[in-house]
Amino acid sequence: MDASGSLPDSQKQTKKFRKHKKYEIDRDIISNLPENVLTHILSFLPTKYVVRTSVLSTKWKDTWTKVTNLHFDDELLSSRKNMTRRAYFMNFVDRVLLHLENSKIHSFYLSCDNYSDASRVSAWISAVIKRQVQKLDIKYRKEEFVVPRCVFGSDSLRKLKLVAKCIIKVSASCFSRLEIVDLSGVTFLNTCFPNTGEITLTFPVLKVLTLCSTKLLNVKVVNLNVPALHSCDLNANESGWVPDDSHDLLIKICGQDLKKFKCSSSLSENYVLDCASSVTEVNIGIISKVDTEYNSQEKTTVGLRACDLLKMFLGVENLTLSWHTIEVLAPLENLQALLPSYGNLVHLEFSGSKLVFDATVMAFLHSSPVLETLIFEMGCCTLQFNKDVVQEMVPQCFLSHLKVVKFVCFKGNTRELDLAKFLLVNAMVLEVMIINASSSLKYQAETKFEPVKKQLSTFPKGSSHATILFS
Amino acid sequence: MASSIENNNEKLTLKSSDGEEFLVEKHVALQSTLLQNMLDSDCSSADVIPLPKIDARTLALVLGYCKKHADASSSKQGELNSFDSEFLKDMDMGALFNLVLAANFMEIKGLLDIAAQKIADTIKDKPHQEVREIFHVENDYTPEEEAAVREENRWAFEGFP
Repeated sequence: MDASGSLPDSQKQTKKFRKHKKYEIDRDIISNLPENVLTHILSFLPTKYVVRTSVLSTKWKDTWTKVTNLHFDDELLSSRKNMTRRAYFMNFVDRVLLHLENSKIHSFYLSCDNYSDASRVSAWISAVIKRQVQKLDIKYRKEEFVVPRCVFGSDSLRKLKLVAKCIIKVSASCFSRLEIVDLSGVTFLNTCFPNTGEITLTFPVLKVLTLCSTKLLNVKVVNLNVPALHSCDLNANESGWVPDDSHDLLIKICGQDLKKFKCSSSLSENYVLDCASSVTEVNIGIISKVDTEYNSQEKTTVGLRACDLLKMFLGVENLTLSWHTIEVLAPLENLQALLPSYGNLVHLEFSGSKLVFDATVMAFLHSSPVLETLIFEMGCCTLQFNKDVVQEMVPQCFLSHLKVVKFVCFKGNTRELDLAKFLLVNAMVLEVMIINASSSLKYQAETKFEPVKKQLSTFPKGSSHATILFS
Repeated sequence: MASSIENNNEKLTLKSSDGEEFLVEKHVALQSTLLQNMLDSDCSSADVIPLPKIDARTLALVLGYCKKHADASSSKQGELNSFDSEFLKDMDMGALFNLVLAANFMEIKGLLDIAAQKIADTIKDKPHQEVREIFHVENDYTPEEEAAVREENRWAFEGFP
């Protein structure tokens, strides 16, 4: 049988065989599976269910002690007596760790916001690190705890995920084998270099770094040595990286392999990326600071920092900017002169809830000579379309490259229609304008959506072969 | 090693336990670490590779999976995910066990994972009596022994009916 030409055949067979009753089981197969296959199957189950297989038959009595993937979730624990749940859960994890036969543990997942305490969580982490765990995934936000030092000395740990109010004491740290790090709510405490406030974190093989709502104590400069880093996602919350805003923070990222950079921040910090020009995918989402009205000087500072950040990514192909990023850039005079020419930028997206289409957006379009796709996510607020832009010179990409324009959550109001008209008239090689209607517009199909469609179709088009698609 | 891989259109023949032969494109076969290792060593593609533990029906399924995954580019992950879930849908337990064993033998990690996950999902949330029934596991504990095991692992059965 020739598999290349006969795939449809084998698919036909597949269907036929599934109806074939011969494959219904009539004997015990599972108990006789090779041990590695059986433990692999069990590794997909929360540990509670794995232990319970011990009562199936005598063969199963100790099977559960051979698993190497542990999954504990205190929400899966049920007990009639509320008061004792905590003791049961902690006892359960303790017992499993004691009984496991294998000297190595592959992965350890622990989610215990309800029934555990910090000292025990910390002890479990130490215990599994000693057993050369490769994946550690902890969710525990109830109390603060210090991450055991052994985590960072581990030469087996590949993936570390912490969603926890925990403290990492930073000394001269090298995280030798970590490939994926995803931290949320974690505090880095500089204990070694309080005078300079400069810390260096070295991750020789790290590929993916996600930091969310991270705090830095006694830190003024962070050096991230990440030669293999591919994707970096820094998500500071409204209160920023440094408590009480006592000083400016500098984050330096050293890595030649960085391809994706995502940053969501109020930009009370500065960034230096020595590798920025190799980054192809950039997402900058500047957020407003909590409870603070910027004065005009602060506004300019944030604007300049945003501009400095954006200036670095000379090789970007795919750029996403939040509406607030546009807003903080707006006060800068002559933004277009400040921006480089993004010679590789083919995909530009504006996202968020309130978009202002004005000279700032136009500056980006002027700086993107080969732009092919332009996406506006309209969000929940009304688009502001500054008609002055109509008088301006048309960006180069409109004449030669812009093929696709997409509106997400299009509500069909006058300003959106004005913008659509402006783009249709001026984009000379446009192939398609995709209108993704908001649910309210779709809901009013007859009364509103149809008239909007009709109106769109009457707009003059700069490109003879441009079509409008509705989705 | 290099010479055998250079030619993408090369094919090799796999023989199932029940004697049926399958002609397979090399890039499809490479989904299997076992076959990859055999090709990397001096195994000539002219040879028929016997797979004595895998019957023709299972092998056809396995090769369907491999072909889909070999042909799809990595960018189509979403499409592959829906193919995977569709692939195992409505499959009965016997076919699933044959598949998991074949994937284990041929070292096809992705297939092993989805098949194992599917079997695990069947065990999850079910009382052990029901698990025994589904999988035809004969309870050879005496009532006293069973009670003793249960007692020993009491902490795993809290809240269990």
